[in-house]
Amino acid sequence: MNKLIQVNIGGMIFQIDELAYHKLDAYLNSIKRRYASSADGDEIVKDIEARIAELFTEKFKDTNAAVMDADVEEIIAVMGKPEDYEGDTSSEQKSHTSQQTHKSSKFYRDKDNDFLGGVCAGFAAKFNIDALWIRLAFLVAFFFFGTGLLLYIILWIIMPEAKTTAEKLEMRGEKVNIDNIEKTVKEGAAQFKTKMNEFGEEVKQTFSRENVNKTKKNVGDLIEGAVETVKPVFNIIARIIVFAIMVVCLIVVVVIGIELFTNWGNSFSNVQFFGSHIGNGGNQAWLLVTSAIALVIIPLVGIIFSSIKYLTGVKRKTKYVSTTLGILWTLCLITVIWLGITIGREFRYEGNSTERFNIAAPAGEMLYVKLESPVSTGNWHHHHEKWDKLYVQNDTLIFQNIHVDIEKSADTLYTVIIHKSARGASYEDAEQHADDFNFGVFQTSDSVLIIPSSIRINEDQPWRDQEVYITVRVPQDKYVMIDKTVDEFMDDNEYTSDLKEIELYGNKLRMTPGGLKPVY
Amino acid sequence: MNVENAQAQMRKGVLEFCILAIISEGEIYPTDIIGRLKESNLLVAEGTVYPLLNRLKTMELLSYQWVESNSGPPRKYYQLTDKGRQFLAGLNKTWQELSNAVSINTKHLKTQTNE
Repeated sequence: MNKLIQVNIGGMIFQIDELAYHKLDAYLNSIKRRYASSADGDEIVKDIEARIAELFTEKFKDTNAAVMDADVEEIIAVMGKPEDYEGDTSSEQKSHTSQQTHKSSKFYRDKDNDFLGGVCAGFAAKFNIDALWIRLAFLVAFFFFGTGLLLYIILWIIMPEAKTTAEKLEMRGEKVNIDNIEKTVKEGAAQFKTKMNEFGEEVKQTFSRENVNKTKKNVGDLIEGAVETVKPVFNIIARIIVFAIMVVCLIVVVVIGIELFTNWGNSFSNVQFFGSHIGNGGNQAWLLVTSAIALVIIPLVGIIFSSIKYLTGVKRKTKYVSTTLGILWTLCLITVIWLGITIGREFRYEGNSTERFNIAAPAGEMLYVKLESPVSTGNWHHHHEKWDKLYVQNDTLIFQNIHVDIEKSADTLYTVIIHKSARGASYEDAEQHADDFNFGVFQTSDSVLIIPSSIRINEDQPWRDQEVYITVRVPQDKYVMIDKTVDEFMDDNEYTSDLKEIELYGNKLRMTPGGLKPVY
Repeated sequence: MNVENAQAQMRKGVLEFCILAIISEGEIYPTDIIGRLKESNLLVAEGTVYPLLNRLKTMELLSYQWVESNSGPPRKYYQLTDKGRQFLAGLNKTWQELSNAVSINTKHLKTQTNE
């Protein structure tokens, strides 16, 4: 929807669309500027206006239709832009006009041709290309782990909507072609040259002044001038740095996104595990994980945000957004700290539970110590690589916080001591946890002692860093053989330290006052 | 001076000459001048005519008078001044000489393009 304006062109009255009006006005102004130096500038504009009126009259003589954007475009095409006029083209004037008509590089959202928020349409208007291509580009970027979506949302927030006609015109950029690029570069160079010349003039003037007081003031001017001259250079450097920071942040966000998406199953059961075994339920775990992720993402998004704002020069008030993000971030921080403390408290105290039992004297006076079954992770549905030796299988938490020691028995009996420890919010709580989990060694066919290969915690039990120390006491001059499978749980002590690895496992060992000795 | 500039200079001179020639036929208003120029494919941007007429007027080669129109506001009708007529005669003479010289010197070019 656009307003219609009534205008008098060359003595004729026309209804003209607001957007078309601004375009026509800009065109006539460019002619005015072009001939501002000639005495009859106004007359030329009037003549041209009369011709435009004539063309419009011809076109609209039978209808009451208003002059639209396209009609103005047509007129401009017929009449030609002032820089296309054949005639007295002094280069001085040329550069003057091109500088005047140089368009600003502001970006606006085009709500008139929007699909979602008009971001793509805005870019399309700026670069004079079909919005379809930009939309496709965003769509493709979306499949790169949502980068397109993130970028779109950010742009949606920071790009203002083109509301006024002036903004709508500003939104429309010049067609990008070699000529334009060349023009822009030339203009930039010319501007720089002018600035440098001015600066040089200033320097000359400053040093030719005799008035000391004035000189003082001029030194200030000089510095100001120098700053003005160097400014563009710093601006470019700053832009490059900001751009680099933005790219890094974007990469980090994308990598986090990839991590979450591709390892979704993994992340999901991590959180599940967390909820059921560490926290007080799934919700708490989700809250913690979400907060932790947000804690990292929000500042990154904020940086990307400000970078784009800086680079595009959009001065849109994003107070609400930054305030909201700030509050959200603070909430996340509080949540993480609070949950951290809550969970930390559950691990404050250590409790123990010790069982000791004698085992029947093995036949042949040798005890064979082995694991129930070697740990194979292959069949297990999930493996937490990050927590070493910690697995979840059908909601049962399985881990291998097991230590095995071989010591010398004080008497003539084979003895096994099972020392369990766990943590808790209080000493009693910890002791309870240590008591609650089952871990039993068992003896088969007299001479074989079987050690379970893992600690298993049911889903209704919490994980509280449960640990098991198994001490096998072998009487002096009796024998023991340790299976290779026990290797990963074996603790080195005074009785085994003399033995080499190959000697320790799979060999018949004799307990002597100086420790275990291999028997060949 | 680059190629584009040379062409522009050439066209500019020819355009001035043609406009003066058209006006010499009798009083005429700009739209008709434009029509004539367009017929002969000499004009690209219509807007070009107005500053040119203005300049020729400032040089006192042209004068104009307002004539009422029954289809709109009054129109400017241009005519040559005495000075303008002399100037046109001078231009015409130069043009004939130039045209002759050009046709002799570019004969080989013409035959080339005709092939």
